[in-house]
Amino acid sequence: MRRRREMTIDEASGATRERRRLRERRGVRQFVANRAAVVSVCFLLALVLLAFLAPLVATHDPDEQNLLNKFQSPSAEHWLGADLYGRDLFSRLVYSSRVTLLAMLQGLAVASSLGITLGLIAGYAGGVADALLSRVSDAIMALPPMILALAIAGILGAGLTNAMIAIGVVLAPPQFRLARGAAQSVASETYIEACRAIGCSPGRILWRHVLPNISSPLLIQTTFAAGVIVIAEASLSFLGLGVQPPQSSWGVMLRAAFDSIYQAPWMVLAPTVMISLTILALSTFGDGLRDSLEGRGRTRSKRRRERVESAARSSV
Amino acid sequence: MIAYAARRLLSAVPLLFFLSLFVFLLFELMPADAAVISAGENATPEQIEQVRENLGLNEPLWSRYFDWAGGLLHGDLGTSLFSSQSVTSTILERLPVTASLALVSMVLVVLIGLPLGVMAARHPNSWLDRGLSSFASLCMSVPPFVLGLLLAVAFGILLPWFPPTGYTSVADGGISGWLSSLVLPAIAVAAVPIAELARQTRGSFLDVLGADHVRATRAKGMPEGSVVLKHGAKNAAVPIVTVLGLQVNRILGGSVTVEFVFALPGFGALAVRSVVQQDLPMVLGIVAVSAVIVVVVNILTDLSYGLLNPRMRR
Amino acid sequence: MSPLLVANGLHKSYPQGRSLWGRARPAQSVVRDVSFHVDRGETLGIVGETGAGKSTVGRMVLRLVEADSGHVSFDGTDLSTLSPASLRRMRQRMTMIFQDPFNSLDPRMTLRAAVREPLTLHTSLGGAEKEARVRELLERVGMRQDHLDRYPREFSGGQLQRIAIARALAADPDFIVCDEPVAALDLSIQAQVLNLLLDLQQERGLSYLFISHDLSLVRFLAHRVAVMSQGVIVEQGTPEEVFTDPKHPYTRALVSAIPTPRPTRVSRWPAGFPAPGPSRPATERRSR
Repeated sequence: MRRRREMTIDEASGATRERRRLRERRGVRQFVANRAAVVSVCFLLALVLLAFLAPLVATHDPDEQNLLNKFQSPSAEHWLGADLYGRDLFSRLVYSSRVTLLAMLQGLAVASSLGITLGLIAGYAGGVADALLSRVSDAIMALPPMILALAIAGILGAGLTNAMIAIGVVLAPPQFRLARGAAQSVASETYIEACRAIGCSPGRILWRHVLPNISSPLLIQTTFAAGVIVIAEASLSFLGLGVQPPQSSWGVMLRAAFDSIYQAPWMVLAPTVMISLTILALSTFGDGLRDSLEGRGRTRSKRRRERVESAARSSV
Repeated sequence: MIAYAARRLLSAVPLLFFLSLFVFLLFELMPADAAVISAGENATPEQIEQVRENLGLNEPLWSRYFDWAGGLLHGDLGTSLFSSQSVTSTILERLPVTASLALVSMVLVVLIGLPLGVMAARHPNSWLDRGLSSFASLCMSVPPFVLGLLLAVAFGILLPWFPPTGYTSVADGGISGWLSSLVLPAIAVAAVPIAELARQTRGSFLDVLGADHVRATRAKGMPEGSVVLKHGAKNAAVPIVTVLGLQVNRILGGSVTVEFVFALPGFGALAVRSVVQQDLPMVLGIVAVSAVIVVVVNILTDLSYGLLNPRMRR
Repeated sequence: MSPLLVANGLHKSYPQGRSLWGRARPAQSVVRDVSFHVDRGETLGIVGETGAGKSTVGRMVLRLVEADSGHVSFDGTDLSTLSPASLRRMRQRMTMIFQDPFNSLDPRMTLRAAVREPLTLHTSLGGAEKEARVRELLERVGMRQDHLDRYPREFSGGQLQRIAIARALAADPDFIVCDEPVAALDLSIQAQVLNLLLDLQQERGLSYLFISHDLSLVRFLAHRVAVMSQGVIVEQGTPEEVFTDPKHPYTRALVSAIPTPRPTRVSRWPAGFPAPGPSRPATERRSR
């Protein structure tokens, strides 16, 4: 008798379960249906592939100089032309994608390890630690990001890693605020109290229970941060504070183009296209992620707030 | 309103204090040593020690902070390590250029961004709306200095309509000379803010125009144009002002690279030069001044909320 | 034999925030001078209206909420003297089951991981042994093997509460605080979960602190009953004593308000005590 009743209840919950599965699949479908987002993912994947296969794709040694080819216009031999030293611009462009990926990894690593770790601690622990860390985060956010990044990078000394430490520090506060807010709201959930009741340590609760539950907003935020890093790397390298020549990056290539702007103005184009496409792909990907992960149940005022926030977030 | 303004101003005091402390400590933590930089590359350890003593670097940390912060209150930011010029006067010399750039950019942002946004909102999902939205995404994907390079090549070199480099003050070249030296850099700096403002304006207007009370006035028979102006504009203003306030921050950041591209002798170019030279007092002063500018702009933004919407004066 | 758990003079008040001038408002006290004990293998029921402070008492007993004053000793150990680490170790022996089953399991953890976690925390079992324990526990509470890799959102309330029970039992505790464990469930499921709790008590000699607003439920389950109102225990005794011969006017009113098949005259509600209204509805299931 008891068994029987159980079955019908199980069946009933089976129906809602099926509905829930469908809803989840809808998240994936929604993303796939967003053609722009899919195209941007493909572009980003191609970029990663390009970075790994750079030696196969490049037609020349990117650092090989040949003064006979100085400022040669695009041709069958040099698809994108050659620079002041006669180096092949196409090959330099290809190898530069490696630097961009490395920059993204370094910058995101600094920003996330600082921002997320401290944010989780501040949000969960509260008290003095929270007050102090929040002040520091507010202070960083009150400074114009580009000027602060420039100052930190410059004083640490030129170089990609230093530049990315600087930009990581500047990008940490948004991650901090997100993680802190999320940790605060998750910390009041019953399941976190239940974890304390079975004897989880605060570290375990933060790492195993809070972090996985805030991973979607963090992922979205990280995608947008990656776009800012591309801009920052290009800007700092352009100013001579990031990647150092002869190593090549898109920012370094723009600087070379700038230095010979009267002799070979077309040199500006290729790195511009790559930088812009990468940033466009990252922001489109981020929008697509946000729509599919958080698209449900957003109110108008929440959307409005998000717009203002995303305007604040992407500023460098 | 006056009480609200006073409260808002007072609340900036602790922030500024904390900011000054934070910035000072940040530079203190940096591996760069002002004495070594100032003494030059071939200095002996004794010379470096002498410079250190002269710069007052042997004083304890807190006393140096209070010296610096006290000077900050009086507008004295110390002396450059290289030119023996006062940091304050150097910055003041450069600010008019950046202010001009910011002014022209802001005018462009408001004159282009707002109408585009309103137009898109009045015909949502039309080809115009979609075209504008794609254009905005594109604008946001080109960093300001990259756009600056493109503009310099296109309209400074290939089509020599504007000077590709240099700054002409009003005193030297009149209004037209001044303006023509700023058009290209201002477009470069303004592109992203224009896109953002248009997007925000569109969103805010769509929200407001869809609201019940606005639909009621429309049902009453008010012409669409006055619906948009009378009801839309007022209620959509707050988020628009927010985004506008944020753009000042962005223009300041964009000016760093753009001034470098167009060889404008402004605040941003000074920042780049000082950073490359590792002129610590100068960099510290630049960061402090830009922080003050941002805080002041934020206060102005908040005060304008109070004017636009009395409920915000809490 | 000494009781398993003794609570002595528990107090708790919550600050009311600050007034406009930064002066602290007087704190509102939610629990005042509450003392009781729970014997081994016994169920102590705590009844009272919503807001009487029952849940706060349950949490203070486990030190999930710190008491302002008073002591709790568990098996002779004063819990308030324990360091955070030894308190965590103590949670092997004492744990809690919550009212809202939909929110008491981590939505990102599979059923297996959820039940396994206490084993990882409190035992030194190997992977295969843990797996066997998890399966055994889940079978005991009536879940199927193929449920193991599913997430909490795929289960019904009754199933979730049984999973929560399995998780609570995993580390083999002596004492469980049950905070309205069936209030959020359908009537038909309530009996199953309650029977499971009773069966487990017999098998394992568990002690329960059973918190509920439902008098008939407490009467059915508890060996002894404490009646709470406005943060104070007004009466304690066996269910027979309390329900057939209530001493305190509040208890009397409460008992007379139990719906009966043939309602007689309703006596006047005593002044100064809140009338029992509909209990707080279970937290709405969060839509994901």
